[in-house]
Order: sequence, then structure tokens, then C-alpha cells
Amino acid sequence: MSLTLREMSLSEAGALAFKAARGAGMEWGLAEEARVSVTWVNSHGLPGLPALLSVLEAGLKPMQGTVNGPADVVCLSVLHAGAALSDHGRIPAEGLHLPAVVGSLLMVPFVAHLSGVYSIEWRTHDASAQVTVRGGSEPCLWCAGSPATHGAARLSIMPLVDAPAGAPIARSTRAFVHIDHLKRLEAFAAATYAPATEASRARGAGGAD
Amino acid sequence: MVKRAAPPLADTLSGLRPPSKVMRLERMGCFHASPLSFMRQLTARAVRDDWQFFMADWQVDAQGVGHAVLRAQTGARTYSLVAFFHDLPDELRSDRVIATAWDATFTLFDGVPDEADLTRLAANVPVQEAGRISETELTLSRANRSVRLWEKVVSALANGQQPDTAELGEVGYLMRTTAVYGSGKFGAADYETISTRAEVAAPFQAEMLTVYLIRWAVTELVQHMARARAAAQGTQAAALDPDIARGLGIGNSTGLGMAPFLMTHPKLIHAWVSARESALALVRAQQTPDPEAWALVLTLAQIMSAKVATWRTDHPRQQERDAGFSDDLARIITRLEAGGTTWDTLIDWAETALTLEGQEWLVSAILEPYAAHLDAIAAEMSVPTEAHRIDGQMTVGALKALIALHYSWATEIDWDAAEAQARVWYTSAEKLEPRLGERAEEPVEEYEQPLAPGRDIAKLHAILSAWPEDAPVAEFALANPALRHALRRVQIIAAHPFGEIQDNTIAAHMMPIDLLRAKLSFFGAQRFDPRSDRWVRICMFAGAPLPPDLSAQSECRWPYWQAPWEGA
Repeated sequence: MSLTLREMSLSEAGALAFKAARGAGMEWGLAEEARVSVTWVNSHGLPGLPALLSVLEAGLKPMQGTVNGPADVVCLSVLHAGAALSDHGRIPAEGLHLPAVVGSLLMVPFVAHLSGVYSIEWRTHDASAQVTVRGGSEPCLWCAGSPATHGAARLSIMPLVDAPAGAPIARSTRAFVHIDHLKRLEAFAAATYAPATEASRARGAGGAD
Repeated sequence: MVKRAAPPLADTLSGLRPPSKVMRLERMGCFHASPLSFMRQLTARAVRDDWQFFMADWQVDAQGVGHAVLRAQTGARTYSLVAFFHDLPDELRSDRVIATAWDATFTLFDGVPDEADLTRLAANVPVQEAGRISETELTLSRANRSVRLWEKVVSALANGQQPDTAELGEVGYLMRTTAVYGSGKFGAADYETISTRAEVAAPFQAEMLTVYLIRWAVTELVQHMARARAAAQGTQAAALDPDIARGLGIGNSTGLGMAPFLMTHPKLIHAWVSARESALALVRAQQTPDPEAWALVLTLAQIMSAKVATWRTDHPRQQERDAGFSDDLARIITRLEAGGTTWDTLIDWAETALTLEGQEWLVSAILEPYAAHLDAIAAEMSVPTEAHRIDGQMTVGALKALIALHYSWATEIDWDAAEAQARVWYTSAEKLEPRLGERAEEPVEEYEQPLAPGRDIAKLHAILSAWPEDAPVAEFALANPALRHALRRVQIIAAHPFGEIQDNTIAAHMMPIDLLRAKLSFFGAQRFDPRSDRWVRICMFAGAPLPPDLSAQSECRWPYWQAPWEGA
């Protein structure tokens, strides 16, 4: 994998997330969630695009049976579960525990949408990460350990009484992604582009000379 | 930037023309620039805050190849237009997005570029989309010379003469931009990073400043080349007559690339349109118009009448509209000369007596006398973000009521009819150019972009009918992920009703140029000249003083300044 990093604007990274999610087969509304979630994560200096790539490469499965909440759709993707969580607008007092979540980092923005303070922890067989988020109109984020875990993780969201005492993560105005990850995301995005043809060029576009 | 809390919707809409009237494509395709337009906001602020402009660097050879740096000092900050001028063979000159070479390329640098910056920009800006810019750049742009005018102007000036004003009037510009990218495109700084700066917080101010400085650079370039030619041929070059220079704008070719923006930014479009409608309501609420204001609008109508007489277009629909507008202006002048009424009565009269062109021009024109009082409204034209979390606690019944309130126009369309879904918005792999295809004739449906909100919300409406009224929307969204974007849209429009075009954007006879015109009018564009149903040429900053000449007096209502070819 290339170690070269591409610096992007946040909107550029968000637009790529939107197209890649759609290109991977997500519904438009979920692709919108991908854009918002990736942009939010990037704006806190965390690697949103690689997290999305792991989600898309894990594949999207069709929804089956009756669904009642985030736990029933987490098999589809973390974005489906996050959207359901955000829509329902609350986390039970006993917390929410989701098995086998890929791209757990992308859950954080959905929790940040809720008012209150929450711990979000995800654990794989060999790594774990924990963030604390204080939600609301001006969310703050505290991070312990590397949030970029690989593979499916067990994810737990627990209400907390207080936020940590230290300074929250500083905001970032840029996104950074390995060129290799970028190319793989662009390959997903490319599925949303119609092949270039002379007929399309002649009749489909505006502008001439 | 700290935004004022939005007032309750009922108050917001009180006294405004309803979205069902304003947000129709045919009317939007007749919008005119106003004091709230972004070019006007830029020049007004530049005067108010005493911006200074400098030609900081000019390294251009006799053939017009090289680079230049033009600086705008706004007080707290400096912005630098870095311009690269190229020797472009005629056969490569194309206004299409898919072009790969241009006569000139530009970027707006945030600050003062050093040598390393200029070296980096020289490697990236001339190749436009194929290069990368950084957070110190705010825009990326390019322009092509007018083939009809450029050589004639250089030649005339080199021979010590002024160019033919009739020919200048036919075109209106020496160069036309074919794209002005901002807001994070190709690595540039995001709007959010500059949104707290007062001088560029209004919409598209970095882009407008770019174009304003490009116009100055182009004026300098054409005279530079004339001087070089004169030196080579042993003649004495003339300087471009200041009135001619002021009358020339920067052209722009706008195709479908701009159209999706109006559908994908509902909160922003609401902010723009509701600002204009709020300003209109403010003026209409005056019981007795100030006689000076009345006289000013009469003068503006007379000037506009002279200007319209010089407009040329080959597009039959626009020819008809321009002819109607010309007649409208004659009626407006007669009506204003008669006096004795209120702005409110005048607007009511316009709705029965004038074409849409005349109606919408009058809306913009009666704002002119009150331009200085519109700052608070103008400040509401930016929005911090388009992101919107779905309110899952809303009931299905409430959602259905919102659809009934805001989307009856969509649910009344027979979406099974072929003409209702005749078109497909898609993105081509070719430089990611947005295109509009024919659903029945081209294999592009699988690439369709979500740019038909009316259709998608009609579908949402149909499926909602099977759900209990008291079910929370969260449950519906969970079971219907394919309609999530439509559901979100309804909730957005409920709070931003001017954010939705109340017409079918994929109909067989939809005219994309109406979309373009609506957006361009908010930019402050003039001289709309559709070249087909899908792209339009316009002029920007024509009549505006060049940066070194900018003053309170010269800036005042510059769109109504008359060039020598406009009956001045």
C-alpha cells in the first residue's frame, strides 16, 4: 500500500464518500449519511474515508425480516445502524451493544447528534478504541487509543454522566487519505458515472463554443 | 459565523409571495440581478470597507504569455489573484468542461504568494482539474478570449485607435470564464474555513472577487499586447477608453454543470430566494413611496429599456422574452410617470399587465432605492451547512401533512406518463460532467442522480398511505431506506419552503436554462443569452468600475451604468 497521503478539503472528501457509498450500492439517503458522517469524522482529525472504505469493502447485504431498531440493521452497515439510532433519537439507559460492526468510527457522528455524553467503545480480537462524545449543537470528542481498528468489532455505546476533564480533540479543516485508499474509493465512486460516449457528449451536456 | 436564529416560519412567510408562485421554473428563468446579488454585495463592501487594489506582479511577454498577481487588500486580509496567460491554438479553444487548455487560468490565493507558492501554482493551475490546489487557494478558474473581439481590439489599440463600439456591444466582453470553482473543489479551502470572515462570508464572494480581478487582468492584458504590437510595428498604442473598459464585463458560458446545485442545496436556495422576497415585502409594506425613490426606479426603467434594445440572442424563446420585456419596460415607464400609487399596487399591477420578465425585473428594480437598508437581509443569505438529521419522532401523519402542504404540485403529476420522466440527470465519466439524457433513448438510467425530488416525494407519498398516522417516521425510514432521501427532503423544505423548485425537473419539456438563469441572477449576471436549451452565455461586472476606479460614486448601481454602445 502506498504511504503517500492525499490532502483533501472536507467537502471534497464528503463528496467522494457520497459517490462511493452510492457506487457500492447504498440507497441515496444512506449515501447522504455517509457524506455527513465521513465529513464529521474528518473534521475532528480522524480518518473517515478509510473507515468508509472498510464498510464498502465488507459489502452490503440485503435487509431481511422485520426491523425494529439499530441492532436489526447493523448487519447491513454501520451507516444503517447509525441512521436508525439517530432517527430514534435515544440510547437506552443500559446502553446499546452491537456485534460485528465494520467501520465503527462512523457511528460516532450519529451519537454526537444526540444530546448527552456517551462512551463509544469498539473492540476487535486484537485491538480496541474508545471515544467519548458530548452531543448537541456543538459536539465535542475525546479519544483514547487509535480509533482506526481493522475488521469487525463489538461496539458498545453507553451513557455517561460527565465528559472527560481534558481538552477535546481539535477540529481539522482538511482530510487526509492514503492514495491507495483513495483509488479504491474512487473505484466505488466510478460506478456512478455513465461511460463517456460521443452521443452523450453531443446531446447530453450543455456548453459549446 | 454566528447566525441569527431563524424566526418562526409563519413570521418568515408573512407578506411574502408564496413559494408556489415564486419557485416555478418559468418564473425563475426570468429572475434579474438585484442589490442583493453577490457581485453587488462584493463591490458595495469593497467601497464601504475601503479595499485597496494593486497590480503586484506583471511578468507577461509580447505574445501575452506569462503570469500576473493582482492584489485586493480588504483591511484585515489580502487576497491575490494569480493569473497565468497562455498561448492557446485556436483549435483547442473550447468552453466545454471537457476542454483541457485555455487562454488564461487563475486562482485566488489567500494572502500573498511567495516564490514557492507561485512555482507550485504554475504547475497546477494551468491544468485546472488535472492539478491540485491547497487550503491557501480559494478558487480555481479559467477563461478564453472572445475570438470575435480579441484580435480586433489588440489591433485597433496597437494602431492608436479605439475598437468599434458596435462590435464590442455585440459581445460585451473580451474573455469569458468557463468555470470558477470554489468551496473546496480540487483541494481548495472549504467555504467553512472563510465563512467567519466578514469580507467573504456572503455567498460566492471568493468566486466573485476572482471574476472581478480577472476582468481587471484581462483589461490590462489586452492593452499590454497592443503596446507590444505597437512597439514592434512602430506605432503608438492607444489606451483603452475608460468608458469602454468599464462597459466590458467578463463573459461566462454556463452549461448543465451549474444546474444540479439548485436541487442539491435547498437550504441555501431558500436563503437566497427568501431574502429577495423579504426585501420585496419590506418595500411593498411602505404606504407612501418616497418621490425620489419613485423617480429613481423610473430612471432605471428608462436605462434598462435602452440596454434591452442592444441585447442580441439567437434563441427563439429568449427573443420572445426580450421582446416582451421591452414592451413591459415601456408600460412600466408609463405607469411610473403617472405616479400616484404605492409599490404594493405597482407590483399587483405588474402581475396582470406584464410578462414574467417584466414582473421579475420590477421586483429587483424597486429594491434599488433601498439597497442601503438591505444589509440585515443580505446577511441571511449564507447557511452554515446543508446537513440535516431526520426528525424520527415526527409522525407519519405529520409527514403526510407536510407533503400535502409543500408538494401537492408533485403528487398531482402523472408520473407514469412517459413525458413526466423523459429525462435523466447523470454524471458522465468524461471529466465528471453533469448531463441530461433521454430516458427512453439512452442507456443512462442506471446512473441517474437524485435530482427529481418531485417524483421521489410523490413515491414517498404513495407508500406512506399504507402506514398508520401515528407511526413515527423513524420506523418508516428503517423499513424504507430507498425513500430516506425523499423523507429528509420533505423535512428540510418544511422549514425552507423556498428551497424547492415546484416543477418537474425531469419532464420532457423542462428547460435547463431556467435553472441556470435563476442561479446566475443571484450572482448578479446580466445579458442572458441562451445558446441552446442547455447553456447560456452571460456577462459579469459589465458597468462596474475597474478595481482602481472603485468609489462610492462609481459603485452606486453599476448594472445601470450605460456603456457607449448602450445609449450612453
